[in-house]
Amino acid sequence: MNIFNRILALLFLLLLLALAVGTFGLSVGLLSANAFGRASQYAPLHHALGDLGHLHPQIAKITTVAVAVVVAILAAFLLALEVRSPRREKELILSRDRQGEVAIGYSTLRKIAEKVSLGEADVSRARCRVSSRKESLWVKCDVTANPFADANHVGTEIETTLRNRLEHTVGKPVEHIRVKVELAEPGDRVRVR
Amino acid sequence: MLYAVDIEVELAALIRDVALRTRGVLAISSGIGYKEATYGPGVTIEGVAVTIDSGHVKTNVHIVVAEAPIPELSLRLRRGIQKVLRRDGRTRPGRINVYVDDMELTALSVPARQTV
Repeated sequence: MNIFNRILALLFLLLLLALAVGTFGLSVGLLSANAFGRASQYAPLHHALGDLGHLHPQIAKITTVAVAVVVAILAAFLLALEVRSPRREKELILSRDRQGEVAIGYSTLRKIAEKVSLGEADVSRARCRVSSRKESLWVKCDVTANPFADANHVGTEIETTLRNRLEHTVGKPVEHIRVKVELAEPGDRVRVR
Repeated sequence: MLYAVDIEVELAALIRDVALRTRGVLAISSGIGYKEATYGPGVTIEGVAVTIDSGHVKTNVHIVVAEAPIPELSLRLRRGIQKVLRRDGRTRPGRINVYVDDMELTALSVPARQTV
């Protein structure tokens, strides 16, 4: 999400939170319509706000309060997520200079890592994650191999191939590769080539 | 009379053609997570964003490539774009940003799966 969309999301969530808190305050009698200052001088709005303070029957009041609380909690939670969560980079910058920058999507790097892993004999499933630290790449792969495969051999083969393939493609060193090989249970469905 | 926006669209089309002729480039992508394009009256050049600032052309190109070393490929692409902009003559090449949005891994393709 770019900065403009994030600002829009923040404004929307703040507005939602304010509306929910206002509705809650009016419904339980903590706030009166006059608390909204000049806005409440607009007659239809003043009546609407006043009505919120005198909800009948009781079930309508309980429902309004409950909905307001749920919306407020949800808005506050999403607001906290939006403000606090660090955004994951979508692209790895391979070079940046006066001429411009060259970048490759992390999704593409992940795709390469998974294809390389699946290209090894005996591997039936692979899930990889590629990240960068300083000027090098870190790769983590969880693979599932056929039940009778040599897990150690499969892991080493994947590590070597993956390192060569990624370094050749992006021109950056791969500092750390962790391949976790899990053997499928005998009887599981096996990929045959 | 040509307006800046017309020139941008023309240059974006030229750059797109150069990119597609560059060895290793398979297609133009419209961007990851967001769409980048050059817009003109009735025409949109997707995947190539061109902005002219003080006579310099800033270019963002989004590409799908075959498996190849990216640094060399981007160098080839940049040279091609710079060449075509110089030949055009109306502007000077500025920053050229190359974004590899996807890679076709034909050599690594996994055979069709069968289960027993």
